[in-house]
Amino acid sequence: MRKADLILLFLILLLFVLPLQINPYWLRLLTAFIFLSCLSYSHNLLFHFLGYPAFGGVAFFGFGAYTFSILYNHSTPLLLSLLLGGVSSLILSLLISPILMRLKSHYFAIATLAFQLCLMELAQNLEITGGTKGIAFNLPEYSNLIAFYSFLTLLLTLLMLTLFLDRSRLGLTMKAIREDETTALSVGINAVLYRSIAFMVMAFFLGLTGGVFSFWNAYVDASTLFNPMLSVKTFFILTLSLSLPTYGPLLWSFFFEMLFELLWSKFLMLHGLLLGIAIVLLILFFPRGVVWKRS
Amino acid sequence: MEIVFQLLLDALLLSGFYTVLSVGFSLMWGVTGIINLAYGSFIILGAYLSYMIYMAGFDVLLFLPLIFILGFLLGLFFQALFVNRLMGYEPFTILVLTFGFDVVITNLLNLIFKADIRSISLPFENFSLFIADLILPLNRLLVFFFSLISLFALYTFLRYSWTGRAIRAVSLDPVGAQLCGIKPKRVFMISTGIAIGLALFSGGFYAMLQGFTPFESGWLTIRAFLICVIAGLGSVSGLAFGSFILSLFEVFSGFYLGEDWKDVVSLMLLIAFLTIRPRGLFGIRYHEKG
Repeated sequence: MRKADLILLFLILLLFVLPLQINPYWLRLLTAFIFLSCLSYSHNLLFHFLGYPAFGGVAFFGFGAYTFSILYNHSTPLLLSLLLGGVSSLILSLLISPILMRLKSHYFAIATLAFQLCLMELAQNLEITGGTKGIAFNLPEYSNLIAFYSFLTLLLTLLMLTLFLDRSRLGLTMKAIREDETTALSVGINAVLYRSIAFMVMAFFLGLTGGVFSFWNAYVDASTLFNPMLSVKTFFILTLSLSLPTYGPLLWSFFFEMLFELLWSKFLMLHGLLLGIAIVLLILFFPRGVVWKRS
Repeated sequence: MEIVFQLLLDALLLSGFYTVLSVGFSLMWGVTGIINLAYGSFIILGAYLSYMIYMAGFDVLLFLPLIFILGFLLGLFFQALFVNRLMGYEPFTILVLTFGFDVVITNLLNLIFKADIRSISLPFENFSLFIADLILPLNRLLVFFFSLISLFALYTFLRYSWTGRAIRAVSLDPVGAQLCGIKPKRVFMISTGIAIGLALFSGGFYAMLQGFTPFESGWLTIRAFLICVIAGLGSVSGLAFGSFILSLFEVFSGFYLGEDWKDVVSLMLLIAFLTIRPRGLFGIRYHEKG
């Protein structure tokens, strides 16, 4: 255990008891922050460890969310539908990975984005997804708390996975593929296998996040679930945390969510513009991400 | 059967506009290696500039060169002040930066002009030519004609002028070009300038063809990207062919499957091309820069 880990553990334990004390507004804000960090950490599995920017990874988020919503509306138990949401995204990624995994860097980024937009258009035109009307559902009591704790559990799992990968041989292998694929291949690392598995794990977690999100939001439609703004927020956070991939997404999600909330509540008319300016300036001044460590 | 010829003609007329729309994007991508996600919002910016000119009572077509020059200057500043500073870093940084600009421009336009649909009506808007059973709307014909002229001008510039040859040299081999005394940063500035100029310019055409709101930039960027993927980088005539393929797919799927499915079809086309032939039909290479 390092000192940073202890602080983190303390903070997370604090998060576990906090919702019992604070008012609904702050609970919602905290949940939004944890939701954003779940998105970031899921994408980071592929982005940081293998260098693959799945710019449209939100596709799997939306797919899982729809699976969850449809199942839950047909009175499947909550946990089972959540799990099946994740599994359905995993299967989707298994089907699509032979296509997408052949591509690299920008091409991969835009192809996943196109995939996301494609699913969005499909969801708007199909019957089963409720078309442009979307799906609404009845929620049990304490649904906000249930959503909060589900998100928190998800975040904890993702965080532990990231920390494990960061310090284990498995993670090193993945980083070796990212740094130099040819060399990695020559020492007998099956790059394609690692990449596909990371892709599927990412999709699985995104699907789970999608399920919890729909439960939390109580209503889903295509333009919320496949919103490109979600991808941008995620990659903005990931770019800023390039130099601190383990804790960075958590810190930046917190900062960014608070900033977003502030802009939203204080400058309703201008918030979109200010958000764009904030993105441009932060990227411009911290192109490598912010270094938190001394040295 | 006649409807097929009409649809083919529609696709042909549309492809002229699509070529102008994508050529700037292709130039910027090919030379600087940047995928400019703000490209679509620059097109919309051009559309609103034309709208302002139209509302002031002037002829939009006469002012298009002026819009191009304005865009050129804007592109120079964009490259010099923002993009050049990030050229050496993780390529993804620039992608996020350009998206930030997309958000800024879209919201700025929304603040100034609100989200209402705007359009320009040309004096001859309702006139059409009839050839046999085929209908040729005059505004589309005009856009097609002017597209051809501007593409020819661009082609000549890139092919024969010193600057154009320098741009092509940097695009083919940045190090070699540098050894011959070409300054890449300056070439980047000029090519981004031309790219943004063309984006604003094609915005004028967009405004003549259909109504627009500030929120259409994403689809325009995707279209430009799609055409570049079909055609491959580095050839203007290839782009024209790619645009024709895209407009064929759009027009036919729009007619037979319904407007709602048009975008799904073009996105599937994009994914198919990326899978089967990522360097495009006429592309020189499937490369990574940055």
